Amino acid sequence: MLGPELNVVNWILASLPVALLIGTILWRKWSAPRAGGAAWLLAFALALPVFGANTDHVAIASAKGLSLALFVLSIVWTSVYMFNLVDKLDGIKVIGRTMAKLADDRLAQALLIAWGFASFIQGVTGFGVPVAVAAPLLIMLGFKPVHAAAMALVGHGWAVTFGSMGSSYYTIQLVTGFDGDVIGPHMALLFAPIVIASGIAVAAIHGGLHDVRRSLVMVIIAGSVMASLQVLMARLGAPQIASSVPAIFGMVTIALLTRTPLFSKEEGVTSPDDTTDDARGPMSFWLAFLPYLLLITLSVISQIGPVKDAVKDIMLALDYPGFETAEGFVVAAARDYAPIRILNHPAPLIMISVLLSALAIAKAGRWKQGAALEAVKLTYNQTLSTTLGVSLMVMMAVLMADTGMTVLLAQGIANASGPVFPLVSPFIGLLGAFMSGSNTNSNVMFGLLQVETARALDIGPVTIASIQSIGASVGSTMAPTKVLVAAAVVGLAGQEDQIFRKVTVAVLALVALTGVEALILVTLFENWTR
Amino acid sequence: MLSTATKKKMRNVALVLILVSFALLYLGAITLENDIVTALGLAVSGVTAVISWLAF
Repeated sequence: MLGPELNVVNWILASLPVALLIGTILWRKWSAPRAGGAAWLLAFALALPVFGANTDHVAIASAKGLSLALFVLSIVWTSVYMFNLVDKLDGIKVIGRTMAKLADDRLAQALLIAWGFASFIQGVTGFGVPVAVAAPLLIMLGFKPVHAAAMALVGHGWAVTFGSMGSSYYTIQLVTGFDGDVIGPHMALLFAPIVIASGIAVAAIHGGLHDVRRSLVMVIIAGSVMASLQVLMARLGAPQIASSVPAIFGMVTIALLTRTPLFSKEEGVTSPDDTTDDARGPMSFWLAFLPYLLLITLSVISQIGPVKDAVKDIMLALDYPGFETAEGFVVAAARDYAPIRILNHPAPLIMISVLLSALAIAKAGRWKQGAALEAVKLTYNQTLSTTLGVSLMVMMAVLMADTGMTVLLAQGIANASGPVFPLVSPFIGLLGAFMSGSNTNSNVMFGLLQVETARALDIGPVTIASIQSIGASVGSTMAPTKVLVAAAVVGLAGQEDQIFRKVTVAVLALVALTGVEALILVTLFENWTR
Repeated sequence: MLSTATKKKMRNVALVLILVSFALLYLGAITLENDIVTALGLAVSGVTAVISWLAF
């Protein structure tokens, strides 16, 4: 026997923890830690009597979940800390204003900030920060609040999976067990139409079909540059910078193209305000940008063969034993599970970048007393809910996976959806991101489920794993948590529905495009999708 | 209903407890193979889930 038997009762019981998670977040408006904790308790209660697990199995699966959560959360904590520190030193304002000055057309500014700069911030931090920074910047430049919020949300959707230093990407890779050399470039290639379509969506939100036509050539060229670089970064084994680097080059391309006949300028724009309380004037752009520049440089250096080989065994990781449940579900032993490698994991690289930048900023006389500690406090408060939410949800997800519940769910979905599964798959990713507010959480909840379903249907599992994350990446931008942040920063608290309506249309179109893309691929290029 | 200040304190407690549960679960089920420590780890995880339910 290979695990619990597939029948209606078992399938319904296996679906209960996920149903509880979705139901409580969507309809009861529970937070991620609240819903995650309840779902883990329910999965625990079902695992013992129904799915043949014992307390040791539950303990091992839950500890594995926490190992995986630590891998992801260390990226969250360090990247949010770096952003907060640079912000406390007034660096983020300098970076944002410099970006705004690169274009002298309102639509070009919208693309530059909402599509480029927000995506760059997503690449290096995430967790609502892109919207929190880009939307006020757009307001500062004179954009309508609803447009500013919606454009900032939709514009960075393509950058979420490889963003936050690759935390969502690493999660789907770990959960599904695919080699990074296989799934990374594959997923990046599938992202290409979505990158371009995100730019088109920003233009559509800004000025409807008129602005789409006005910027189409520029968006296609800049989007192609961004998509190509995303594939290149993934191929080079640097997925942690596969959103930030393309976003930088995307911004440069947009800035250059606005000075050519390929883009038709229309209106004059407001110059960003350069005033500062500091008598020495604003910090230089390169000093403000130094932490991110160092991070990109270190990420590239860490991928050079001899460097990678020299430090590959320096890591924090735990070994987990295998086991077999009473229902005959076999879990293989895992050696060095979810390893945090000293020079091949974003968290240590971020901290090295922060340290070196702090020294340079202090040497330039721009350090502010207490900034480091203030950034720690802010980061702690900002990430506490995420920490508990991710931990409990990942515990639940790994417990479900290691007791055969996920496989059972997948078999049931496979039997029901059949050949149209590629169309449905990215919407499952979207659902997970919508209810949890996180691409990472969606990948944890549904990554393995999607791959097992694909295998049961004999459909390319690498493509399905990729579109799970793409659906979640784009879908996370319409999550209530992010929309609430957007509404708050543009002064539309209580009127979230206005933003939500604009974002939903664009996001659903992008996710449907992902499904069509996947259906075509698994039909015409079957071997490539495996 | 819990006050905002109490909820804030409980959130910090939940963070500490999840770290403690990680150590107990690993020690109990893998390092020591001790049923009591494992049960304690699961109990602390359960308490963390309940506190998270109350505080977030």
